[in-house]
Amino acid sequence: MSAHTDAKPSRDVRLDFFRGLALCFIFLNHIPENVVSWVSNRNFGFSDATEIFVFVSGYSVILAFNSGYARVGWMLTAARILRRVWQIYTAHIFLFMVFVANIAFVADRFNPVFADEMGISHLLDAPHILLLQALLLKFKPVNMDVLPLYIVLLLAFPLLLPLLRRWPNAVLACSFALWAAVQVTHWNLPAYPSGGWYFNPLAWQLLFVIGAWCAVKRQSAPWRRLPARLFAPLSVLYLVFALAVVATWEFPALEHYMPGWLQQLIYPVVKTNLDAVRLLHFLAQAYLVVYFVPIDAAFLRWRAARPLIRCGSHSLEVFCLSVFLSFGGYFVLQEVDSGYPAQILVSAAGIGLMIGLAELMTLYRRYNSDLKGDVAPQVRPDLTGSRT
Amino acid sequence: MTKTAFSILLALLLGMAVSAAAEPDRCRLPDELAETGAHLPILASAIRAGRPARIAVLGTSSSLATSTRGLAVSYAAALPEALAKAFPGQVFEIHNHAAPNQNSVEMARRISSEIPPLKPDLVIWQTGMVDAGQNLDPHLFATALAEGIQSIRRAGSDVILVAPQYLAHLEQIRSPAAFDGLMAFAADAEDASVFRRYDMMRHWAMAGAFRLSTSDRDLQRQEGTLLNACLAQHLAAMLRRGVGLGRP
Repeated sequence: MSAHTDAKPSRDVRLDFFRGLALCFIFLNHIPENVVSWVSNRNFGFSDATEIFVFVSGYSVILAFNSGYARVGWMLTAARILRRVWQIYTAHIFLFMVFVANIAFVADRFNPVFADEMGISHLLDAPHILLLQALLLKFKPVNMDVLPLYIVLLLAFPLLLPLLRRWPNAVLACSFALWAAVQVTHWNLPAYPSGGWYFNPLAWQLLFVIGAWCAVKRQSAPWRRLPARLFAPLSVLYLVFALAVVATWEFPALEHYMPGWLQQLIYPVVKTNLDAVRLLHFLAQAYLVVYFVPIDAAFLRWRAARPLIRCGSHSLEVFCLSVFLSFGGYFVLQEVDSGYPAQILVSAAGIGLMIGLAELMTLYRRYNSDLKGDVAPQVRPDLTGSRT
Repeated sequence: MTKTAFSILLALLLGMAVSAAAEPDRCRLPDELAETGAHLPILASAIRAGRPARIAVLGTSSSLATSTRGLAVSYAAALPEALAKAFPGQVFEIHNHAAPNQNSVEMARRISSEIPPLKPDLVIWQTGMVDAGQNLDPHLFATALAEGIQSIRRAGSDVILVAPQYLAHLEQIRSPAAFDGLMAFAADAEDASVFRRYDMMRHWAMAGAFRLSTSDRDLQRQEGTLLNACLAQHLAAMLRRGVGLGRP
């Protein structure tokens, strides 16, 4: 088994494609009242782009660090992981600055018209404390919660990796047990000024570990042993069920179709602790993707797919830009015009700029490696930034 | 008075007349929001008996009876006037116990100690905003709401919940949408009604009914006061429906 996982990782462009897609959805979802965000997957079921992102990252992290592990040993692998943690941490601080600039503008422009009951302007009353809490990852502006989640998961990864190599099933079981405990106890890490993390790492770690587990097992692919005749239709049924329930949220006229016992069972669907219905929804999608989308699927070679794949392969930078652009985009919608044409224009411009950055970075990397006289890299870089 | 001054005055008066005439349109809401029902038997019996109806308002800074620091007049401050229009001849005693910066857990605790001695016919409970700002655990919020509603009922009062505010300029920074959803869920489980302030303010924001994004702070405050007057109007109408009366 370990001989397989130490083999050179096969090129899985699907990961980049779905990560790039998730990035576009996240950008669109970060602009409130954006008609274009209707295309994003959060409107069709319980899970959204965050689940895609966390799962794909768990998978990619194994691809990036596992194969080198046997060659260079634990110490150096841990060092490489921590180097990546540092990069993500600095991106988080950059986004914090963007966020504070935004609050400062809002606090200046809108003297609390009604009442700033959410205490947002008060955040700036003690900026030195705010800064310290941001550095400690306790203060997380709401749109930027996903980076601190990564930092925590990656920090744990040097310990997880050797365990996943030896006892992957045991690790998955423990991870599931922790998630289940959180559903009941609601344990969470503390946040500033109060409350818990918006993405509870103790719960979301499960999806990350599932991704890592799948990557470790990708050669033997135990999910292929599940009877597809049963699981594929079941997954489709669950997706249709999720679509129906979400429709009752979007169109209140349909609300009464939702039976009371079902509401009691599944509501409230809470994102913070990776609600079971969300997890199942993502797994149903993932199963169908793995089943129907082979590693060398034709659509991945289309020209239209390339921008998404490039975005996915530079996901940290593109994510930072997307948050920055989402603030700018919403500002434009509020100040200039907030009609449908403006929303479409802002969305298109934002995604265009994100793709532009990704293309630029791809060019830069190619130029760099040509300069060094390297052969073009066999494996495209991923979220973790390492090329193995 | 000079001719110019007179023309300006006339123009201003005309403008005010036009905007006064336009005001009812600004308050307009689609039927599904304007016709939210409620079931308020205790308030109904007080009104039928012809005695003064006692209402307790519990909430945070958007429910304060007196506006401070140049803030817009709240819906709670506009409520007495709206109730007088909606229930001609009925006397209302409104006790405002709103206090800023309290989350739903703290308020639920206050309910069990402060509401029973008051013996109100109706409790209007506004919460969710401070909880959104504090990242309160969603389950804690839902539990606090359930406990609060049950305490109010045990004290022999009707209850109406008031949803969070929709503020377009804050939505991207921190949106209370999740807490609005949780409130609807908790209220439904306890068979209580919610005054859907979030959806109403959102509708007005989409329709551009109130110029809240203007850089003129005085205008912001005026528009805010107008919006809250509209909210008070709709809340009074909801109370009318809750006690089984038609439109006045």
